[in-house]
Amino acid sequence: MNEFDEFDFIDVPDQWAEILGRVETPGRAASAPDDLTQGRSRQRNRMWALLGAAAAVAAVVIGLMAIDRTPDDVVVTRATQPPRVQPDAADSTPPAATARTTTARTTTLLTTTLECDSRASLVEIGDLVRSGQPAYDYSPARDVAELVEKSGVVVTGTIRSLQRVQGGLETYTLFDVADIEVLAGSGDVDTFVTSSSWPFLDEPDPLSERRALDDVQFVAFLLPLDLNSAPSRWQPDVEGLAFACDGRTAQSLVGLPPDAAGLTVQGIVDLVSSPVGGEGLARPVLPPEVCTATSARGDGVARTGEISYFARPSENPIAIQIIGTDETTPAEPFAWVQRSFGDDRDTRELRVFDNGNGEASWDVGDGSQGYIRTRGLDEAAVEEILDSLVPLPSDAEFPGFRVASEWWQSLHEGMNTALTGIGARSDCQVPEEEPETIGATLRYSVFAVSGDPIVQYGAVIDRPVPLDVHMAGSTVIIVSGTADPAAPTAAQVIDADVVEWENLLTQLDAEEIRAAGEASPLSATIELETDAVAPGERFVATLVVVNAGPTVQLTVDGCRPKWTIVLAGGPAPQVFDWGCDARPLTLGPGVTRLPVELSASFSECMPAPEARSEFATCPVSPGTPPLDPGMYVAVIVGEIPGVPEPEPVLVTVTS
Amino acid sequence: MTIERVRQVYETDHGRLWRSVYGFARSRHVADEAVAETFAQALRRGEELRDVRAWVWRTAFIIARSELQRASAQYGERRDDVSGSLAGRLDEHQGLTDLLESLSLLSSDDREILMLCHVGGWTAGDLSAVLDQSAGAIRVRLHRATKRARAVLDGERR
Repeated sequence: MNEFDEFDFIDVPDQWAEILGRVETPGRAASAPDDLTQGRSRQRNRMWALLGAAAAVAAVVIGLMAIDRTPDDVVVTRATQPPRVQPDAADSTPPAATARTTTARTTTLLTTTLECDSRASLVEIGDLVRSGQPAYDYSPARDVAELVEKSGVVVTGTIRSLQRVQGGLETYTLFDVADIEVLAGSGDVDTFVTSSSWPFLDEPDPLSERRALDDVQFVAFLLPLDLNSAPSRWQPDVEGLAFACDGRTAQSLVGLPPDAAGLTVQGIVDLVSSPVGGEGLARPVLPPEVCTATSARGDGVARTGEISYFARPSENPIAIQIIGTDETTPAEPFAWVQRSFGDDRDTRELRVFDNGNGEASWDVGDGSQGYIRTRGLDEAAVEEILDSLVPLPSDAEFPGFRVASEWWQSLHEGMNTALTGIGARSDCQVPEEEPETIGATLRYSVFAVSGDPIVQYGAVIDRPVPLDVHMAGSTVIIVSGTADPAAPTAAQVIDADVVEWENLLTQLDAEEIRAAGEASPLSATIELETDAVAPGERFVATLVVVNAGPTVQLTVDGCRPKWTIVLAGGPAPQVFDWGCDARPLTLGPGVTRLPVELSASFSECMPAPEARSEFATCPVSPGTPPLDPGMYVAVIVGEIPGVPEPEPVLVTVTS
Repeated sequence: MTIERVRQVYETDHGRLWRSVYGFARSRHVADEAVAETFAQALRRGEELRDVRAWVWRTAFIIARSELQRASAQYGERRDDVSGSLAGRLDEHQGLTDLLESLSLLSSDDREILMLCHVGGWTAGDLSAVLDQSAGAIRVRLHRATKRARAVLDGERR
């Protein structure tokens, strides 16, 4: 790209003298910062001190850093700025954190408990956790499932305290943890450590004393630490520590796998609890805090048959090939090439569109026709592929094309007549804090496709360009919907639990809701747990509201609509008195189920001396008297604005 | 011996490395810091390093990324563009300033691969040893980043 020639004109400073100075005089001050930050010269001084001391501890750190890292894998970078805590000044609590101070019994030493109750305090705690840590050169994990696979044990809980401690020749940050729940693997965990050092002479180590933390949740992917001198048996993977508070986005040591980025600790716990391994993912949903599922489709049954793509059916079998590099997955740029026989079609010039799709068709010259559809490749790349295609004999076992290229390869080949695949889909909407307005809701669809690779690539390319594609184990995950900063990513998709999925399967999807919505946006029916009950028996009736429009939030005079379901038809009226519930009744798109517990009893009774004829007389025992055997109807009383009154449902009170 | 190996890499690569890190971080200060510190650490490591050139290129970007993350955590999520004050860029001519602004719209991963290949002069095959990724993966990554950069730069021109 010629634009980058601009860089050729930049004057580059000669840094050799400075480099030698850093090596020879590691404690010297740095040049004044120019544009990075203000007021960090003290920190810079510390950095040089760290770098000097880091050289001394590097060998120690290197030895500790685990597991198939070579000596050049650890790079010491600037230490995290120590928190501005002065242990001997109770009123010097940093403004970013709320601190509680307690006086030790025998000394004047003050210890502070850092509460994790704001973003600022979380940043402060993050600085503490990362203080003195080396920066690592590591190969990032593909996803959380890979981290789980590597870990000896994965735990979640709360961090009670941090302290930098000595263990043999090394120093560590010791995490004292509690409320431990083992998510995967096995092992007793009450502490774990990370390598760290605090070599600054001009600044007290913020972790020299035990620093208590409050309400800091974490999830850790722990590896055994087989060093007798170490103060714990466990250390987290480089990407294997996430911590946060108050439902905030989790922080980490150096970063998290792509599918965990942006999630809360609970979201990561959910990912661990529903790992996507080699078996893939069959019930694709997004974490509810990312996008709340509203419906789902997919029975998990593999189907085999003939599939025609791009609305180009043929009377004869079609040879299909996926062309890419040796690294290509459905989430990467690729080309789909197919060859059909005996079809009379127009040829099309190559066109590559702005959205990343490309297309061309041509007459092969032997009565067959070639067709190429590409995703994410530029015109030059597609032409390169087209030039490399050499037609194979039409009676070959696979009558497609040989790819004569050093770079492009035919990754998958097959006929379209017996393709096998399993598909599942869920729809969701991004939760909004404010009451939504029509058209403002962000809705997304998530697809999971496994089976024949051609089916997987076909699911990606034979549709409008999706927002995101990701491989989760052996399953391709596709997310489509409105492009938006809040849009979910395919890497965030998890497997729903079976009960949740079964429930989602019963919900109307967007298409069904649209069809139903042509008449009225809201409709309602009453469903009964049973239609025959004994006198006095309790059972559940459910008002099922179908909303074919956008989410509605209903209040009447500032209160939630007052309604219930009763058994009517007896000798006495059913009387109810509701208080005011200020929370609105929310009816989202699709089906909302509102259960009510009923009793085959009178709703009210009168003490005998004051009894009026239409009310039952209260029994001696607590409660109201049972209804007499007979036929009743379950009806709605009260009103939900906009919801049509459902049909009464017959109920028999048996004798 | 060590100093000669490092000096040799400094002679051949320092200019391109500094410019690449500068384009990645959009900050002269981060470029100064990351590149100088990288070479200093290379000298301290001595014969530990098998491939000084690959290590230096990899490490400079690690340190630069660490600086950016730190600044971002300290000054808010939207401040990863720590190229900082306008005054810091007054000495750059307008074309470069515009280009840096455009690059700020790309992800750091995209900026990294673009700088390594388009400014650093690395080919996908050679870069494989630096990034510990296959050449195929790097080509695809570069292809996608270039495409996004093209979209951003074309958008700027309109």
